[in-house]
Amino acid sequence: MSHHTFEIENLTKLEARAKLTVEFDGDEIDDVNLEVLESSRYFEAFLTNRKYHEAASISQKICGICSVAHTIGSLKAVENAFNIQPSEQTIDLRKLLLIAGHLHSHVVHLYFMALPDYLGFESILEMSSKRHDDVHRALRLEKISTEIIRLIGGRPIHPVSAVIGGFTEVPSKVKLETILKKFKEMKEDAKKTAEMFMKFKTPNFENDSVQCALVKDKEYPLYDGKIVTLDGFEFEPKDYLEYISEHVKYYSTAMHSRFKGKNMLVGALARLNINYKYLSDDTKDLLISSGIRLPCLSPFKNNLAQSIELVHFVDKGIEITKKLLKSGFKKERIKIKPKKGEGVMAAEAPRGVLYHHYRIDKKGLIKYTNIITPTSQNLESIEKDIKEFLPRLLHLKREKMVLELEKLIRAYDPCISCPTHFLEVKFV
Amino acid sequence: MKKLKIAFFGHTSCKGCFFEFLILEKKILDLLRVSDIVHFEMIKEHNKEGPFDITFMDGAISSPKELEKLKEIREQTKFLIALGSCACYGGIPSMANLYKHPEKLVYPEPIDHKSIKVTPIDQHVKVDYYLRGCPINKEELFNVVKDLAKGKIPREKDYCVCVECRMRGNRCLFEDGIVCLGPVTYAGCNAPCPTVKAPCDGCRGPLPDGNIGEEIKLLKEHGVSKGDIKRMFRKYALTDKKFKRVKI
Repeated sequence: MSHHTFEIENLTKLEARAKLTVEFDGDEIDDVNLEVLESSRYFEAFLTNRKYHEAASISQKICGICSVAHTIGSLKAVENAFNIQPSEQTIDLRKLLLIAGHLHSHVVHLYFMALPDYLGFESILEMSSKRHDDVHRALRLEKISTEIIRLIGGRPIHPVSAVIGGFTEVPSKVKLETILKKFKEMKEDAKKTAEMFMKFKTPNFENDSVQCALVKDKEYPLYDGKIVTLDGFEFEPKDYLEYISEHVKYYSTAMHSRFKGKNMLVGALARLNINYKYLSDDTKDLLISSGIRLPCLSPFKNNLAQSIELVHFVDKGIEITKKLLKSGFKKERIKIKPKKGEGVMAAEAPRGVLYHHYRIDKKGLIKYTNIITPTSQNLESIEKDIKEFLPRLLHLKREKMVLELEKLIRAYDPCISCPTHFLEVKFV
Repeated sequence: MKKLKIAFFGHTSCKGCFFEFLILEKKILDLLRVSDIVHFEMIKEHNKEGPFDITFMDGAISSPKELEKLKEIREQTKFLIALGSCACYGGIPSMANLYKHPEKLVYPEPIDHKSIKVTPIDQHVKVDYYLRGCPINKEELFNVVKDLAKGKIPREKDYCVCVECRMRGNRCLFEDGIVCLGPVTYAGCNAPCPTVKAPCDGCRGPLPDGNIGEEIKLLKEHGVSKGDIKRMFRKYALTDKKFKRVKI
């Protein structure tokens, strides 16, 4: 057999559009290209010459599903540039927002994109008559998690109340009580989700990607921390450019990132592997009953890791809300004086470590932006995995093969809108 | 009754408006009683081609391929809805139009790249309804489908955000010295931002009879610099004639 190409024109059930091309030389796989079809949106370009306070409201529009993480990330980086240290209550409220954001994102991915594959349905819509309980649970979790974002942030998607230094308005006691009730309502559904995903069989397949997650004291990572690999190598967010490099792929509008030249993996599975000790007690029990052995190197288990995180984040949400109910809110006056500075931050977005980096001039105008999204850190591993996993599928009929490949890609939960903020390269 | 065939398509955007749809909870199931979602690549493996009764068209147009696809879908659609401010005005992605070569700002070496002006979809095809906002309001989306299912043509709200803001009993942010674009922005969102004391930043776009001159006067009175006023108007709807012509 000579040179031939295998293509999946439109990969579905992903957050945005992508195409897969595999090139064969005889029976050997020559090259795998995951082509991101989303157009470039140049966020780093048009944040230039915008005011410091606009960075969050503009950069949150990088992504509709992890906009909370981009919002908080952007605020933190600008605050670092100005040497502003937000109060404990502000950080707690931001953590609550991030938690609700993680829950929302995980639910969308687990139920709307991954679950139909495992159960043999075309989509969750098709499941509505046959798997009534699952569909209702999905819709409930989806609604409640975004309702919590709305109660704190003012809107369910693209929240607005979190600003530099604090919040335009903090939630009332009544609202906090509602939030607590909502977290508690989610607990059973979150547990059921994890128990369901534990039962799904996944292929016996591992990779050697460098797994990275934030580590912060004895907390499961979320808001801040240093970046730590599974092997224990660590670095501070401000030094990220020394370790993380971005690369252009001629066929894709998305950038690929590498850790010291190697392909990497960030997200729920990496967080779990590196920080499992700091999960809530109930989550630890679940982890034990799941039988998953850590560290786990199978990208397919990312779904299971996400479902386990659901339970942890619900518990953590309850804990923080209770703390805020007990302490109450102090009135804060936010007065920001812009000054020349540079700020970098790293936070855990639902799909992994997110970096925002700004340089701001003395008038408060942004002069340089760099944003590295979790998906751009995972893309290189996805391609490598496809190359290694595909030979096992070659005996299958095309339809089945496509599905199995899509399962692998979807397990990473790639958020394709995110990494396309950079550039578009055409090739003919 | 024959079920309506609904399609969702996305171009250049963050896809946040799709998630507004997904958080409708039980109302999604209500919608499925009167309609079939036949095309929605983000959540469906099997996606049908047209004809479609209703198409939700998300995102701005920023490449020749997207333009071609848009025209193709318009041909197959009875009622085309521009979903969100990217589709309605170009939205945040259209900020790229302020730069001659945005790629040069983000890429250190010259590359073989052709910039395409980011445009709203109605510059290319006829739009039957505008679901404005960044993101859209899920209730508005639900009501539009409900109206169409009953054979009614949905109507947009033609007044400004202030009307809904006052109806929610909010104190005007200007009174506290916070500047806001509510007076010149399309209502329909139920003023979620000013309700948490965050100013309206005009995400639903300029109201045709909004008094922009008066708004600018008000902003200046509150000490907002010319540069900042310009930036406020050049965010979601900078391709719109109304905001383009802003004289500061």
